[in-house]
Amino acid sequence: MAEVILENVVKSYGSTLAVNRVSLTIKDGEFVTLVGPSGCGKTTTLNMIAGLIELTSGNIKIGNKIVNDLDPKDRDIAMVFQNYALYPHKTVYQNLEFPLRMRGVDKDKRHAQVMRAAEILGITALLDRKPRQLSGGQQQRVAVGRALVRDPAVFLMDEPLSNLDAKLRVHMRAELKHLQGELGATVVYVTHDQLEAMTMSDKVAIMNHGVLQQYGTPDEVFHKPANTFVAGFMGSPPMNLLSTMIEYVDGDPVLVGDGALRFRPKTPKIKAALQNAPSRRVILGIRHTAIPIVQNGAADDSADSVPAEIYTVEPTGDVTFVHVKVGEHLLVSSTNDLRFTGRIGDQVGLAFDESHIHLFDTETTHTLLN
Amino acid sequence: MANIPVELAVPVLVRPRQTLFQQIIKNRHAYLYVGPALFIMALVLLYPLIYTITLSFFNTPARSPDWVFIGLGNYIELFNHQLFWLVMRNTVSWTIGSTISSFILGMAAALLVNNRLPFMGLFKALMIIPYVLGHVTAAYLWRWLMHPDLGFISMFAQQIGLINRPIPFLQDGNLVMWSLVLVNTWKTFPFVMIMILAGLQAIPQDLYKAARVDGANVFQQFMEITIPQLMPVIMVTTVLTVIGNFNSFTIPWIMTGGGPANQSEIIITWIYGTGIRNLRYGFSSAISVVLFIILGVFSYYYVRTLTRGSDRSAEFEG
Repeated sequence: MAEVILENVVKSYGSTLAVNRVSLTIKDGEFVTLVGPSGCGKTTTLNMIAGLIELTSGNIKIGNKIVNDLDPKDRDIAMVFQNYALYPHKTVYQNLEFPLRMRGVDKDKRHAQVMRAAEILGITALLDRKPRQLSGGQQQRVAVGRALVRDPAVFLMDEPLSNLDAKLRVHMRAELKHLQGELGATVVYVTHDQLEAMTMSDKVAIMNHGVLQQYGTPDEVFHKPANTFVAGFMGSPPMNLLSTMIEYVDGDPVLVGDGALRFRPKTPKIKAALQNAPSRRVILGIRHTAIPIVQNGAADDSADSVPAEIYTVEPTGDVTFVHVKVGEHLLVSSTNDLRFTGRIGDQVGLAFDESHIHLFDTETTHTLLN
Repeated sequence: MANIPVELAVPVLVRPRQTLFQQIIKNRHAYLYVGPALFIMALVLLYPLIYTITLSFFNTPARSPDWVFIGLGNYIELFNHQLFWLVMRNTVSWTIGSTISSFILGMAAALLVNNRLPFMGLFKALMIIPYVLGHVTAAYLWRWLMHPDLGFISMFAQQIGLINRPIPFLQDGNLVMWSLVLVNTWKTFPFVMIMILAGLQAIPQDLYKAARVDGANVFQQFMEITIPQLMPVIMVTTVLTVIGNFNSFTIPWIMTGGGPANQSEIIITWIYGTGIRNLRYGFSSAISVVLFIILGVFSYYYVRTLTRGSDRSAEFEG
């Protein structure tokens, strides 16, 4: 196992910057996920770590050795591909054996290692089959087996679960995470699915347009997003982001949005952030859990409750998402109340939970808190 | 019985086998629809086939309209004919020689064109020229190029001092077969190239990426991925090329007409010569039947390769 370090890694295709000065430190035994929308440069970054794509500039170190000019085979890495890339004409056994055979491992040792990997993944019964005779989940397991058969320093995984159906994906997610824990493996994992990133990773690196947006634990990126992109990307449904203006009432800052949206913070930290804001225009970010619906709240609740109109209701079983309109703002709120009976057009109140409020600069989109 | 697992003890339901006639009766409406097509196929395929087979048992004197039944007489004459083994040897040299050389050249060209190098589009277009050129045009072109006195090849080679005397490509009995193979290779390799190129481009790039990570060098990638992945295409192309070469007539007929002294005579030109030139229809039909049987074997393998391919894809989809 080894540490992976990216220093100012750049990949350009002509004038297009696919990856722009990405720096990351992935510690030994960590499960790190690169996440972002398609075209954000996450797979390019992974392929550069693998050595399948050359760097334009910067350095990649694996186990304290600069590997920029090394072939993939000399980097001591193994990779799991999105469509598994199993050799279709070889049996499962031959697939698992391939990386060992290419490295000149002798036959007895190969057999022992293949059998060990097959046992770990529970595919011993499938060894004589060809990939096409396997289900998606089984193929996935073989692909993981081929990666772990020779004990690489780093595992690279490129959206390995995206070809599985939803149920199997949840199952394999847990299985991969468990396996990583057991092996103590260093894993760099690419996905576009923020839920996968949140559930599996020790750390998440969120990328957009080739630029690293934030690198931290799932908890950090979820609760302390560095900018509006991270705020909007992590979490489902995404964080509500509202354009507001700072106004002053009795010397205290008040955020004023469209319609009846007025929010007067009480916490000194938020007040200070607003007073120090470089511009009067700020983006107010708030997750659906922090603006619970207060039914009929508009009529009876205190001044803190913001009146809103129900746009649509999405029951999911345990949680009901309620999309509401406040002036021109469309927000997502939620309620755990199973007896919630709100209908489209109903007037409700939204209670803002001040401890879960985020503020971002309109120009730079960076957070104003911290 | 007691030890047999339950699933094996259950009697397998075997549907009683229907005769062809019963099947036709059962599916009579379907057969009605394909009837016209079947009729036309019978007219243009089955009728000539049966006619030729029948004819091969008769002697057909050129100056009389009568057919004289001679049983296996034509076949006995064929196998004892002084030219039979020469023609067979020539046909095998022609077919195997052209197939192997066009394969090597076509494969090399496909691997080259498949690289993302500059000017590959132009190069690819140039290489397809022999294939799109008509057979007759190509044959005349090469007959002139290979002409000992006026041909470009001999003249050029003499001018640069490579040889002293013209090369009698088509006049020398030892050289003529290989000259024809050369021309046929030139004509056929683009077909192989196109087929192999299509095969190469259908190989998922991820397999190569995986192999690189797994530690395979370029040669190992070729042997472990490219060749096995190309195998179905290689099989089909080989069988098609063999059948095509066996049957090809234009190039040898126009360039040499089987000469000199039958040294470039192959089955097809022999059939044409004995039948159309010497008017020995019965004997010529007997040769045709032998050719039909040989090609039948290849066609069987061709169809089998194709159907096995489709079975495989069905399995994959399942």
